[in-house]
Amino acid sequence: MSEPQLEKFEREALTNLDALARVASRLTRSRSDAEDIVQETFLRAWKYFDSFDAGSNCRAWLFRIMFNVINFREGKKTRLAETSLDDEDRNIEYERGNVFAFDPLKKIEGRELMEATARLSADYRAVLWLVVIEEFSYKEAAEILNVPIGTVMSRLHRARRELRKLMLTGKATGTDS
Amino acid sequence: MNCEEVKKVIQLYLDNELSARDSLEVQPHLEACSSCAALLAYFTRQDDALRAAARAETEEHSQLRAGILAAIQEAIENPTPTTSSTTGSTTSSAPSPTTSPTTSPTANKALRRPVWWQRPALRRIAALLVIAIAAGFFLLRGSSPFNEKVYADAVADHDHHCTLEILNKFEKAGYVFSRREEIDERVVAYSTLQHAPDLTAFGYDEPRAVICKLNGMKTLHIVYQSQSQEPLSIFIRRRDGEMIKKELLELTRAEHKLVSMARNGTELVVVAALDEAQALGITKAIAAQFGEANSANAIR
Repeated sequence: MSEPQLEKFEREALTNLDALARVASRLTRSRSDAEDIVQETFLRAWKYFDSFDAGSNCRAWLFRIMFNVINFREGKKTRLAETSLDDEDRNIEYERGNVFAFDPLKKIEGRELMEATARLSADYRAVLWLVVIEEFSYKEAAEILNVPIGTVMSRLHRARRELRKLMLTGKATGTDS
Repeated sequence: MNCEEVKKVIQLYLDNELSARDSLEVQPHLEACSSCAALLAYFTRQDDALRAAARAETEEHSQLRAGILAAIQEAIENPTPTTSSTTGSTTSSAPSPTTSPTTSPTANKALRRPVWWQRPALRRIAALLVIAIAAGFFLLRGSSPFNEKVYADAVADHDHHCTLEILNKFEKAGYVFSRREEIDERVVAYSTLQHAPDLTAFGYDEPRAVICKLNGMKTLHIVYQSQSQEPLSIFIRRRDGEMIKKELLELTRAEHKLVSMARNGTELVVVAALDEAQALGITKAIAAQFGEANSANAIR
């Protein structure tokens, strides 16, 4: 590939570096691992940039590559285990009545919230990061993670509820993360 | 819908993943039920706080960027043959090489005859087709339905949220914010600004903020009130992707004047029942607050 193609790559792909690094650092918990993953992601993307469809979503494409890189590095050579919405929903209890004893005007401390996310499972953190922080749709997140949309929905649902529980019970920070 | 039904879909509602019909059923319940409204408000605040905290923590990666570019430059100068086993991925949709030559006897036999790209006449026809398709793409791009949905959604959201009655009702439900620090917190999360734009010079004040979606993309909607004019809305979001064109665009939709532009990493859409010159003046004033020294001159 040529120099003009490199300029195009910088303009369309490399602009997403911050977002990819942000997510990688939260999923790997080590800056050097995260940087390695991001670098490998962009090198793979560069290698196959010719075959990338210019009309499609470059950002989602890059995130999909990155999750494949992460999975491969962690030795997960098969698809992420698919769980049906029914399976994950079995234990979800829905509140009845007004159980919100918190002060709705109380500021939610961002730092505390970030520490709380570190206590979630990697699967929950992944959907939270993709949908809430990076604002992908459920469909895009499902394609990036290679799971059904129902799985994205249920994991996100549980992730938000877990975070809320951690924040309300004051257990956002812990020593086991 | 009852509380149990609403609570099952409340996150879909928050993420704007509910159908329009279901959303219409959820909304009246939220206005009437403080418990469900509080649940939505909490998840909204949690999401916003998480987003703001994550963006505030974003580090600078110039060294990483330089390393990536150096590695790519190395690959350009010393290309290696592409093989089919380099991705390490399996059935995922990571890019995989599709043009590497096969080694089967059948493939080798096929390669002995000139294939279509080796025939000059067919190459010329293919080149003309590519040019025609590209020209068509660029010609149609200006009238892409993608941007039109953004403006249609902006007008619809402006009309929906700009009455005091609706704003007060939604503020009680917890998903409209009127306190300055709450609004500024969201401005920081959704743009490269530090504060909500100051429009007092134009007779607009009392901003109130709500998160909405334009063409499926979460956007911060700030409604400004005026004693003598119709309310005005601005929609802002960080520019990662392309919701609207970068260049300033003025248009009229459903008797509203709209002006949109992107500056310094933030996309802005202004919706007002004003004349064109006023809407443009307000947009320029907001652009100036984005921090560019010559933004007013740069626009027109």
